[in-house]
Amino acid sequence: MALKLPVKYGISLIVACIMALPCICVIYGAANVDFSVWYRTVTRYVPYLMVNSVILALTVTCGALVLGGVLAFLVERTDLPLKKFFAPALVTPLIIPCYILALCYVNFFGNKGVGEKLFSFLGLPVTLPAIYGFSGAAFILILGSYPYVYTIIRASIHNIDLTFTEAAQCLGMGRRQRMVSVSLPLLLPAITAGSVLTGLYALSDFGVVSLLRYPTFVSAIYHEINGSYNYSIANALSCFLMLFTFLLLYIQDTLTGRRLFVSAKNHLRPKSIINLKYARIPAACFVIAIIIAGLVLPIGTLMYWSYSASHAASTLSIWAFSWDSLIQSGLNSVLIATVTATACVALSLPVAYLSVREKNNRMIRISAWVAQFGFALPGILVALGVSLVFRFIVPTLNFSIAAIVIALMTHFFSQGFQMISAGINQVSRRLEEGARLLGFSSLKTFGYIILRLIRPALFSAWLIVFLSSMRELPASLLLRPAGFDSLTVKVWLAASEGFYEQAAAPALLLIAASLPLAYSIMHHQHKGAT
Amino acid sequence: MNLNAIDTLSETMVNRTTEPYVQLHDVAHTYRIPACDKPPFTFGPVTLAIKKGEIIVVIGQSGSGKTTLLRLISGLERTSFGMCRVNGSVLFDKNSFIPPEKRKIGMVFQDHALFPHLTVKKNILFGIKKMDKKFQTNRLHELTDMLGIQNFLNRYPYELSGGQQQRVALARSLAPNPKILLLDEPLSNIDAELRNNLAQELKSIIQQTKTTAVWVTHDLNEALDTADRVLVMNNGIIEQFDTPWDLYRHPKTKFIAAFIGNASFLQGHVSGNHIVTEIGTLPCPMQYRQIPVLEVMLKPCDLSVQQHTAGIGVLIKKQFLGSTFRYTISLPSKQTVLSDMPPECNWELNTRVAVNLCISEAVVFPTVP
Repeated sequence: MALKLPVKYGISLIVACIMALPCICVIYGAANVDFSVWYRTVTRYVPYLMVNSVILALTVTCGALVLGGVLAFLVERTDLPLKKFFAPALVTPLIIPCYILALCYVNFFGNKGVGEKLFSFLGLPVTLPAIYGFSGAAFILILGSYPYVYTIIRASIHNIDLTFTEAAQCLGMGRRQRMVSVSLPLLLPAITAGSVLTGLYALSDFGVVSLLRYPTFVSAIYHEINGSYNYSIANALSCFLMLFTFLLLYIQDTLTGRRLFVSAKNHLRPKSIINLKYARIPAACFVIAIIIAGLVLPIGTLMYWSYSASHAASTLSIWAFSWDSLIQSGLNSVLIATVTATACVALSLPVAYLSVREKNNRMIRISAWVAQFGFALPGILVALGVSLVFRFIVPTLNFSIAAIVIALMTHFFSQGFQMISAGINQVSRRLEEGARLLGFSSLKTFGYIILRLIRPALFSAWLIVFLSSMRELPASLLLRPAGFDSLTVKVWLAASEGFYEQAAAPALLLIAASLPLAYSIMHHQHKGAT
Repeated sequence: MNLNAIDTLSETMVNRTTEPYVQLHDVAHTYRIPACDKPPFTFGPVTLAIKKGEIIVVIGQSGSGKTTLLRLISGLERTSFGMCRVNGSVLFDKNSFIPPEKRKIGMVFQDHALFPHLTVKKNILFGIKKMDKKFQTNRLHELTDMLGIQNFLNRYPYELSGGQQQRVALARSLAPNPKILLLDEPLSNIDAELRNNLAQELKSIIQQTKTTAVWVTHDLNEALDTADRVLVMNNGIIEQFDTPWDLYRHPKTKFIAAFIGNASFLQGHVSGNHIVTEIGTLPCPMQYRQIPVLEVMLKPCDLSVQQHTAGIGVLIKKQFLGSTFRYTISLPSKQTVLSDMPPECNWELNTRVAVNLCISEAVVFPTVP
């Protein structure tokens, strides 16, 4: 659009400011924290939290990388049986939010849990080990995050340009050498992207570590705010968490560096498929085990709970299952997610348009980058930031629906923005110029051409923000007004009190609502959208 | 050592000297393009002999099997029909197959396939990584000096222009001193202006290094310009394999005549030792004297055309090619012929012209009814 430059700057700067405000407030708040508090935080909390968080993040990253990488390789380059079924099925654990996965496993392995019942039903009375602590948290986070790595690496293996390995072959490289000196380096961007994603995922996770009682920065921050309303320690801890996040993003940036990784084109020639021979059946069993662990077991557990909830007469009426409260919390979730998604799309549309059309404008590029920042930050940090913003500016609105919406918006802005910019990128500038020459004003062109053509992108952006907001836990939990239950909050509260029957129905609803998410990821993965 | 062994030894020595450097015998291949319902693509059978140090240019339309030929020689494609030998040792035959990495055959790919994660220097040294360091540095200097790329050894491939990438790709494949160099449309991604110079440059470097090369292209000028011999492929088989001049002057088929020299064809009747056409008479080659009707190949430079009010031809189409005008001339029998005229012959369309033959020898093809 032929807007004046100040207007363009204005739009992008305002959006960037809104999105950056929580982050700024955390830093500003930390600057005002008393020295004695800093001292106490650094000596008492930071060392062990740091060790815990780093070890967890490293373990989860390595685990997810190996698991996702192996599965991607099996699906893309070997003669694994039932590949057509396994390839999409391996992505489906995504539909289960991580904290629901955690609560299913806590109960399954717990005392008198579903696992024991199942085994005694099968005539095998065993006591299962509890899975609290590090190993349990790592296991569940790996299970919850490997689909991202799998998707990214699989797309990368699929799109790798065969000419490179052929060239290496003509230069005398054997199979192993080609793997080490050509294929792996070409997969490096996918590998780093996957590791940074899972690293951030593990670092920012709230639900799993809290349920499994493994203290990390995130759970410590939550306890400081929620348990003792101690903002200053939470603030100080947040700074360390932010530092870690920056560090991870910086590492990714330097690893990719100056080298450019492009697959030149898609080849018609089929890739050679590795014959697994005797390992075919074990490999298939391994894949099935992963699908059972990530999808079948948790959903089965939830089904069992809702079955027993509808049959057993509950003694405690407040924790009993009731349709009214389920519908009420469902509506609350939908309300929050709808407002967030709509606001997100509305705000990201102009910024995305400007950042695509004014690629070379530094100011706009930077503000687009700043606006997307909230996505990399853990949800708890964003929630703390928003809470601080309201405390400084309008204290009455702190802990309100507005606060939740703003936190979610800041957190998920990037998702919507990415999709919409991708959509606008597809619309050639020539189309706009053509419309202008045919007598359409710039605003009309925007309405008639751009908006019409990017409708699918707008819709998927809206949907993805909507779904992410539905599933988000820490910000909804921390910022909600008293008595305001959304589905996630309901699951969380019931589960943390041990009333699993009550958690089952909202959890299943959340999973059902996530189905389109899995579909969109499966749909996109063959376009190589890494 | 017994006498028999000496006998076989001397026999192989004799064979070595008489046998061509590269030899393909009855090589055939069939493959189906996946996710495509078309019938399988067939290649061959192809029999071919190349001398050491020769530059062979393979030309043909897309899908004619040019690239398949390269991929079979390099081993990237595998077939069980036929035999291929280089310098006396078997690359593949019915029972054996040497994998590509053991063949010592260099290949320059269409889009260069320079490793995007390695610098220019590392790309060039990729194939000789295992040699000792001194050899590596010597070879690097030798090649980069020859190709004029010493200044961007530390750049990444995408930071180079198309022509520079081309040179790096050539350096990389020449570094291990390959037995044969295969080039798969090496200039197809290069600007038209640069292409001519670069083709000459590549040719001189290949000649300097005394490399035997098989060069695939679909650009006719590039082929005629660089080749010692040209291999014309059509529908998976060899149409003709000859020097550029013979290809131009003595095409074996009408396909080649039309493909190589923009030839047009004019019907002629054999009478005695001559062929009579409507624009003149030519001596008839011996083997065609029994056939009553023949087609005479006419290149655009085979005719002399003058403006003449009583001429039999009419100009019906005019193309300006820069250094010449190409006129399409309609004759009374409705047949058309092409003629190239110098730029000063800038005539109007529909001008009447007199058309005469200015060749003394005819290339003829039997008429296909």
